[in-house]
Amino acid sequence: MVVAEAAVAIPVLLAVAMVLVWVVSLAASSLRLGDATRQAARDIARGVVVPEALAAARDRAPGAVVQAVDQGSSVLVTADREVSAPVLTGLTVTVHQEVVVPKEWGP
Amino acid sequence: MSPGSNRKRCGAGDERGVAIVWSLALIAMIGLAAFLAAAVGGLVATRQEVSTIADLAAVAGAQSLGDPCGSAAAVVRSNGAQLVGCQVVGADVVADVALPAPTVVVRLLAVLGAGPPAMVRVSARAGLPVG
Repeated sequence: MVVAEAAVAIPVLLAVAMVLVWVVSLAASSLRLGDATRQAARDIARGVVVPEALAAARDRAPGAVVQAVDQGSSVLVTADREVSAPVLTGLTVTVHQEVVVPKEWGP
Repeated sequence: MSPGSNRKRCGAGDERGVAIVWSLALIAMIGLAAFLAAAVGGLVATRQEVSTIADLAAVAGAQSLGDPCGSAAAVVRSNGAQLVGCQVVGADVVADVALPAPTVVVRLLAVLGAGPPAMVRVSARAGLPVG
């Protein structure tokens, strides 16, 4: 009887613990991506050329895909990273951060 | 039946009940921890985003020659946030930017009975270097 209950309780416990670990790693990734986009946005605002700004952002978030899209008067900086679940590595969620930076500070 | 075997059966029964209670309590606690981690993580990430937008808005305002608060507002709008306050202090511009709190946090606050919609607000100040 006790064994049968443990057979149900322990997997559920492990699953919930896995979700907790995943949530924390998603939050950590999100913050790192936010840090990367922030760095890129600051650099672009300071007049650093876009490729250099993106390189600095990639240093801040290893493994992230950091891209810039020219939107005419502004640049859209996006950072994405796939975060896989612990143990079940096939299960992934893509964390995304973006910021729109004006290219020219008009009068 | 000997008293020993009787005690043993009774003990096994107790253990079984305790195991269920402990498992449920542990599962609930870990679940709650995951929920809180999601809420706190979302809140910190939103704060970081608002802070980035506020920085950009203040810089845009400080670099604009004609209409500091208009430039700041344009930057904030293009990032989907709200400019809730804008002040020109000498050569500096102070931008106050807000975004709605993450859904998890809003729900949690609604359950706890908090009234106004929760916003994450950050203020940033920027000025041009003198000279």
